[in-house]
Amino acid sequence: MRLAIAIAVLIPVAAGAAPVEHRDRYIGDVLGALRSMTPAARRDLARDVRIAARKQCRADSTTPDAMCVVAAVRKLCAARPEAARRSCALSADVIAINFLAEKEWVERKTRVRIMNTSDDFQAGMRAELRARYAGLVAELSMMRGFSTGATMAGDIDRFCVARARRRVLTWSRCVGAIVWYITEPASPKEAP
Amino acid sequence: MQTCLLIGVFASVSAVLLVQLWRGRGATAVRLAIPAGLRTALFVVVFAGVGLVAFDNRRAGLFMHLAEGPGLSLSTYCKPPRAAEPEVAPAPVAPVIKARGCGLILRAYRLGYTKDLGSCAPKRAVAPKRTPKQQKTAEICQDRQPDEPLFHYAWRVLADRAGKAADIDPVGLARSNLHEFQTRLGYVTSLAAVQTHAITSSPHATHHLWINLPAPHPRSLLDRYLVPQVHCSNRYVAMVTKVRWASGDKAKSALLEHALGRLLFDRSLGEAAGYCGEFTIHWGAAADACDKLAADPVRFLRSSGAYDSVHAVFERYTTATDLRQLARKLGDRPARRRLPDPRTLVSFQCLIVDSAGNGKMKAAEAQIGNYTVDVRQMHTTLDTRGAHQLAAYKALALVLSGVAYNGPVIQQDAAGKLTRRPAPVADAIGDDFLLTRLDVLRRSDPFVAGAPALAEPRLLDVYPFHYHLFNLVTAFRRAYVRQRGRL
Repeated sequence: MRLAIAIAVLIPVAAGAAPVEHRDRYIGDVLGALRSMTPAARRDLARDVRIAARKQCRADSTTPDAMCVVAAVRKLCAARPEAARRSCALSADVIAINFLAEKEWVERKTRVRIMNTSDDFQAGMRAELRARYAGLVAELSMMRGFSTGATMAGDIDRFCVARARRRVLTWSRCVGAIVWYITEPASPKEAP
Repeated sequence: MQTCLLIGVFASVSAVLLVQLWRGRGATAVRLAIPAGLRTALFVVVFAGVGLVAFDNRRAGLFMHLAEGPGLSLSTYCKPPRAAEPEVAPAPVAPVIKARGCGLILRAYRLGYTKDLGSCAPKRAVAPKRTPKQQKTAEICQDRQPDEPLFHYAWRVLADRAGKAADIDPVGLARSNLHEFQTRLGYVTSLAAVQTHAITSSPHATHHLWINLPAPHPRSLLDRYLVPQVHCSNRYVAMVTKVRWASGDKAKSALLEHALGRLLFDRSLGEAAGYCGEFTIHWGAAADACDKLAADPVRFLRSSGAYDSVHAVFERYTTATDLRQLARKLGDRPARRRLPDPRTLVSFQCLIVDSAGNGKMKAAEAQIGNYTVDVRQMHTTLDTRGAHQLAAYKALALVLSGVAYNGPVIQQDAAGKLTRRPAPVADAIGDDFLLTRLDVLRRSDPFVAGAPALAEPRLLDVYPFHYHLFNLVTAFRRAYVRQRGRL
């Protein structure tokens, strides 16, 4: 009964959600936004998103709540010029989801190793994340019918939907990792 | 295998020898009015029985490796004594630095920020010393000396053996062997049963689930003979989350079978909770199957074809108990430290899909001989559409483990507080930040508060169902494994 009521209430809410039904287009927009950024702008935005999330969501040691991060990033992008807001929101979305997924990508044991062996923990984490993302992108590139052309966004979506059904890696975390990796300039090589 | 071979050889050789002895006695021997071939066969059977009592796996192993024991070896020589080595000062041992957690401290030390390394200070490794026992072992060598004549060595070994033989008390040894034989003779049925269980591969545990729906994949008569059936261990090895099901009774059966596989056997969700060959689903069961089972277990089990496996498990348990007693009487250590509770070896469950089902579990007991078996039954509704399919997982988890799933122990809400309440799915739907918003669904367990997202096709594909399923399966297996055992 409770379930039926919940469904009845929430279906109309979901029905009005345009971004969800246009996943391909959204991935295409995100790819475009990240590709249009200079390496320096990309690096600065990544730093700003992390700082905002940590500061406003009290997440120094724990993973912050997703909605809190959304609010913090929205505020960050709202401070930018009108023309750059949309691009900021799209790029920051990828950075935010990758930030939330860090602990899932790099398990505790590896984080401790990086802390003990690396001079710069953040740089060590970026290198480790990059290696993990590379593995995922390698899998994507081996997917039947994968193309780096106009259908790439759709291919990423299909790959991540299939992946989410097999492993404990959600669709959004899968998309975030792939999009960040493939839009990364040749140098400097780093994860957000 | 070794034991069977040994028993076979023993029975054949003994029978042949006895037959030859019988013939040698000629006209004076007592003649029986049975044909010679049958007589030989009779002797073989009799000696096979004696062999069953006399040889077990341990003895067969000892017998097979008899030739490998210490003896007169002509190819092994004692090594010549080493010349006394001059006393040399030990080489400096490289300092060992405790690596974990010391990187930053060492760096700070090198830069001059600290003068004390504390627990990260270099430690000298200590060379291991030889114990007096090791030294003594190295000094005495019983093998043939390099300059020792062969006959001298043979005489030395023979004298050594003879010296040891003089210490043996043949009467005491014979008495001890007789006592052991008599003790083992008392357990002849169990000793024979062990071999039978091994040969017939009787089940180590058995669990039965009666469902009043038709079989999801009925095999035609032709299929049964022409198409080999896929073993359950292959069927459940890499299951893919399926969220869209057809309607109808067969689809319901397929959903239940899928849910059972994921809950118990799917290894992508952790270690399996049992061996699939020991689980039987009885499709097309009557709605009152468990009532009948509790009322007259043996009759019901016989009629549904489950009796043989249940009987075999209890027989295996009795055998194991007897062998533990035997081992204790002989002063040996039992093969297993502790036997599982017989209640954990056999279980009966009924899942009755019924439009009037209330989803509550009813527990009863069935008495089979000296053993009591738990019987759990549940009448529940089942729908394969959207979020309703989740009820199948919860119903199966409850009827199999007896424990209801209440979601992950704790989750963090938006304010950073720990809570059991799932996050609202509506947060995941919005015009911006699609990727980050969808991360909210990780905190919205559909098994706890229902899943409107599963009824919404646009969220259906991206819902982190697998993540929540993993939590459910982990909690279920933790509870289930505690209640189940295997011989």
